[in-house]
Amino acid sequence: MTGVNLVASTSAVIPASVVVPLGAAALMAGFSRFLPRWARDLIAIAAALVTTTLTLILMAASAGHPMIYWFSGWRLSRGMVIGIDYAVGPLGAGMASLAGVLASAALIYCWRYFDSARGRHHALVLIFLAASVDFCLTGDLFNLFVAFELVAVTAFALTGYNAGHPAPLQGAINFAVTNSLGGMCVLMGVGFLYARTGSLNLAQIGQALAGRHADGLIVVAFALLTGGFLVKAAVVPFHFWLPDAYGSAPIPVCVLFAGVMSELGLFAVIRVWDTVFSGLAGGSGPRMRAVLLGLGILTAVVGAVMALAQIQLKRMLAFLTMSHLGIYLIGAGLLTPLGLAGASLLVIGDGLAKSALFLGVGVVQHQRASVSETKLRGAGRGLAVTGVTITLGALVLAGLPPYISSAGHSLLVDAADQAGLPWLEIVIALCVALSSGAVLRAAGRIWLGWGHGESSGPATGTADDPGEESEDRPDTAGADKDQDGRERSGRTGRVPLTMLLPPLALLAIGLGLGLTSGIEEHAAAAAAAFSDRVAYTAAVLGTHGGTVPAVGKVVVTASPAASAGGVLTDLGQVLAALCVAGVALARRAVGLRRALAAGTGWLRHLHSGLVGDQVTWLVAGLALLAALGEAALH
Amino acid sequence: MSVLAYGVVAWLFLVGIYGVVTSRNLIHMVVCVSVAQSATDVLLLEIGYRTGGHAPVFVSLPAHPGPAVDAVMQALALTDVVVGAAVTALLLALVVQVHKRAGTLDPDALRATRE
Repeated sequence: MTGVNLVASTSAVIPASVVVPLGAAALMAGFSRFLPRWARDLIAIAAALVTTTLTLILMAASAGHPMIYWFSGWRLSRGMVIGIDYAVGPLGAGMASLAGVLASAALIYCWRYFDSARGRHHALVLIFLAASVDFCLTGDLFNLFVAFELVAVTAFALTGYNAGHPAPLQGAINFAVTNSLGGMCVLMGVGFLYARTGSLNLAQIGQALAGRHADGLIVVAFALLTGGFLVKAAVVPFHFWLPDAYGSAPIPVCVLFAGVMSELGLFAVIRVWDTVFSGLAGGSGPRMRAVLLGLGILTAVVGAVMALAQIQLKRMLAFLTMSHLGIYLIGAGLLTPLGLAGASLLVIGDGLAKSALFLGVGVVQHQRASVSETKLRGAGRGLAVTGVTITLGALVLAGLPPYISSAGHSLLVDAADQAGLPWLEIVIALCVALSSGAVLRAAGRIWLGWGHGESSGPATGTADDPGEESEDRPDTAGADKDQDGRERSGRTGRVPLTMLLPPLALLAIGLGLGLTSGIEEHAAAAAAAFSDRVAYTAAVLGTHGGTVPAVGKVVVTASPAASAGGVLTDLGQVLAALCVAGVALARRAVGLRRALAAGTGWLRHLHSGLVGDQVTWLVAGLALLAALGEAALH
Repeated sequence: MSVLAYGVVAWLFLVGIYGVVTSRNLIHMVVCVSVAQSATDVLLLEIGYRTGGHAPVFVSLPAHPGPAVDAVMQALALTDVVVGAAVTALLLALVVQVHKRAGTLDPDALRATRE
């Protein structure tokens, strides 16, 4: 009975979690000029925190069975969906609450980061948050597209917010053009699915396709939908816009991008696969797993290698984000609840840690007016707290227990073992060690003064040398110059507490979650509910009739021996990351670094920053996906 | 009719993408994005089209109105037009800023100014 009451009382929470940030955004946009600065900041932060709380309530309330909310009471009519629904599950609500936490941290950080944050910035962040929540909760394919576009359009505007220099503008244009084309692909896929099934509701489309053999139209719809979402998820070869956008966006915006936006793309890929395509006849699961794993491994490796080749800190973190996205795709692409559970814990833990890293880099930019690793060599004195933050962030990204990412890693490894692919563990460990090692190398150079600085002449021909990219990448001095107007930089006063504390708080949240007992079981249950197409369809369409299978309990292997092995693996990853950083900084390893730089030169050359090239890759990727989809679904 | 409409969709989308890929002028590129966008609108309208169907307006109809075209697809197309307008406006605003700061609209030349 209490369960029923809980559901009844929380059903009003579902629309409120979108209405609150949207309403506050409208208030910001319309009345900000009448409000003093502190009131604007307070209202925006309060709205983000309330949204976080509401989505956390939803996550708790929807554990066990999805909550269905029909807007304006347009329920089913004779078994046909005529309204638009939200289908809230713990995984989606958890993703939404991560967006809320990061938006709150970004808004608190903004308090002293921007000199003149007008209401528009806060309004855009709140609309971004509302669209993310909508994206995570919706059960309607067209609503998913609208949320996709709303996230994208606010993100374009936020990237170009520092409109004072060509570099952020070009990043924003590349981002906007590629993601708009991705949005068009999604919309065409939606249209084709509607043409085949006559419905826009995910559950009803899935029901209509269940047991049927895929025809050409369904394959094309699959390729268009998945390709469009993968553009947002920055999976190779759709990823070229990501370093341009992340490398040039303001720091508080990078937090939202790296922690939430790209992950939303993966979320949509898996959501659409699970609810719509997984019921197709012909046993397409194993072949689809091969496709997703291939894309994930490629993305993880390319991201890690490119992260190591960067000396501009924001671009380095951008490629690190991309490498992690590949790892999440490996986890989700196993298409087992355990893999998805591991990926979700990683999304939470890494999202918090990556945001802490970006915020730490923001402090450095604010205080030292540069984000170039070599220029900043030895410049970390006086910024000890930030140095500790960045080092800790890199270590927990490498899997330092008991942070929550380490729990995610061990679940992922278990899932790979169960799927008969134990070598995935090595791929993941390698990529994590490389990308975290890049950050540790930067921390060692900036705070300990190790390695060489900018003026060491030809010795810069190393693995971290941008090579040709030094010509076409935004020079940090120039990038900072433009930000003088909006972003405070180059001050040498005390660092405001509102900039020091949010990254530490984010790391503390991740640590607290990692220490929570039973979080693996909760994640596994949430992932099992998320991947169960039959139960989802039954919940949305109300076709219970006694045939609802109970959500299968996923047994998480938590034997002491296994967890001890997991801890050892994690510590091994951390050690490997430290070794990578050490090799990258050691004076003796110049030859090795030169060889690596020469070997990866072609890869760096591909990241030309030209939007025409990026769109060409996008089209090629779509064609590849259509071919793979034909092979996997037919 | 139907084949022609799908042909138009394919042509508009491909020609728009070709324009984006080969563009040497940012304004031209933004217009090409709009051209590709219009392909999706035509596609949605064609999917919802019924030969001989009347407009989906359900007031003061004759006794036997016959079939109507699909209103859902028209709603989707309208939403897409709104999204397209927002994206185009934002892109053009960014392009204006680029021209102010860099003095050029050529993506290649712009790349060279970033050092």
